Amino acid sequence: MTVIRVLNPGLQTTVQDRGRFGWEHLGVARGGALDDIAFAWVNRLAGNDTGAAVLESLLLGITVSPSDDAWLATAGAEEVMVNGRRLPAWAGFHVPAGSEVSIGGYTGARAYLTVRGGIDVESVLGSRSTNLEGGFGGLDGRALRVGDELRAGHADGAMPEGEIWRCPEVPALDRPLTVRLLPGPATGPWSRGAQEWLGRTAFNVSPQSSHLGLRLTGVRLGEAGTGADASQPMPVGAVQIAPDGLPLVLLRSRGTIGGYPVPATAVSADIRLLGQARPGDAVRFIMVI
Amino acid sequence: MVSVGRGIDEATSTRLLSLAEQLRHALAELPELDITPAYDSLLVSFRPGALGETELRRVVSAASLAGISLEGRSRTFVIPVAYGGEMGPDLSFLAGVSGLTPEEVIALHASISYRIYCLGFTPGFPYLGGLAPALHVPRLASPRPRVAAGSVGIGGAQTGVYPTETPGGWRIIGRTPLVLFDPSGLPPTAYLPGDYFRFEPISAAEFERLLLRRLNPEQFTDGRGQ
Repeated sequence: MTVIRVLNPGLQTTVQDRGRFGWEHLGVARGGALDDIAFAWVNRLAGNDTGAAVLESLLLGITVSPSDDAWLATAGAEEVMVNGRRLPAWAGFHVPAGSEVSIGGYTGARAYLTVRGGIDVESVLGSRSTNLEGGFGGLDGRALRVGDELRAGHADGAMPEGEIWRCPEVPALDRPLTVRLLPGPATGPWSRGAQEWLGRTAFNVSPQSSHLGLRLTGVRLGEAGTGADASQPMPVGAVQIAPDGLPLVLLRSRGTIGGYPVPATAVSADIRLLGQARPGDAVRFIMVI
Repeated sequence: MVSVGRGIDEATSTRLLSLAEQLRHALAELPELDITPAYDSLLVSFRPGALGETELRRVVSAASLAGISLEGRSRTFVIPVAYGGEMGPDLSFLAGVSGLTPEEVIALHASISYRIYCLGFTPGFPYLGGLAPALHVPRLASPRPRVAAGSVGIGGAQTGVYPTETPGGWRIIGRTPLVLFDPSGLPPTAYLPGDYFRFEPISAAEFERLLLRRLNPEQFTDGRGQ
């Protein structure tokens, strides 16, 4: 049974899969890998089922070491080193037992690493994703630490024959990140004014951002909206307008009920762009419809 | 997003939760389905592309007309709370601001059955309605970095319980020894939107006796219902 040992856990690395569905009405946000395309590729390159659990690493590189010969895969990191030797990015590759595997130089905010068989942690409420707010799921509901050991799941069939398998179609991450928005849930003249402002303003990602949501800086919306209405359920991608007149874009681990008005919501296909936005990055919005 | 009315009141909430239940049945086959109610609106989400807009609108219209009655199905959970002392560091603040004695604050807080309108913010966190106006207080200017799990607090016009340890800006007046949210449970909470919480003052000794016991309906509901 292969064990992946964590030598350098980076800034914040958590076990994620597609997410946890069906419990948001109890305040359990779905979570899951923020870049759904990179998540799909890293599992495909590892020879895994589409929903297998992976490591999602934020901003800074990580180093792991497998206890046995293993097939690993990475997505989203430009630098991939095995025992000091450079390997291609976005690939699945064979690694001898005890090797040191490091990834770094992320194209965006997040990179993914997994092993053939997936990361085998206990499934909680139907998912292996880590819920940091509730302290459950993934590895003990927390980010990885030095010395952590993660089991690789069982994989059917023999190990792939070659040494490496490269992604044939690496997804683009065009900059400035341009995110498409749908109008609503809030309606009415204030919302339309806010949508128009979102479409013409140049924003940047604030370092106050987290996996819960992106704080954006830029020219403020003149009228922040009263927020006097009752709190509402928050879709993933909701663009809340905070009392300071600046946007807060909610990601997959957001609080599921919110009090600030939401004039527009990011389309689901562009959540990955928000998940890859680093502090300082420029963000533009386009209203569709 | 489906809106059923405006504002925070029991009648709107009952209509909303009834609609949520109808939609849960009607859309049960959709992958990655979540139906999340708040006060006067609910969110339906599912895997993109699994259902077209026209069909979704048809299902919602049909569900709005159907109307399940939820009458008699709500339960009142009795939550034991050790008020004041180190478990409730803001109890004397509440007393000062409200002009009541600490004992009167406790008696007033514990005298009301609070409706759970929805759950959110953190896993299992209940948004409770019905707090007496005398107990409304502003939140802390900056949140405490850590509020203990089980803390019972008041923020603005709301009262509630923190099921897990989080940063929090509410005034903390007590703590329950019970585990409210258990991720290994199916379901992870015993309570749902539409149920009620009533708080019951207990001693420090009783707190120790009940510590980390799960809030289970058999032991901790008020059989008389609402």
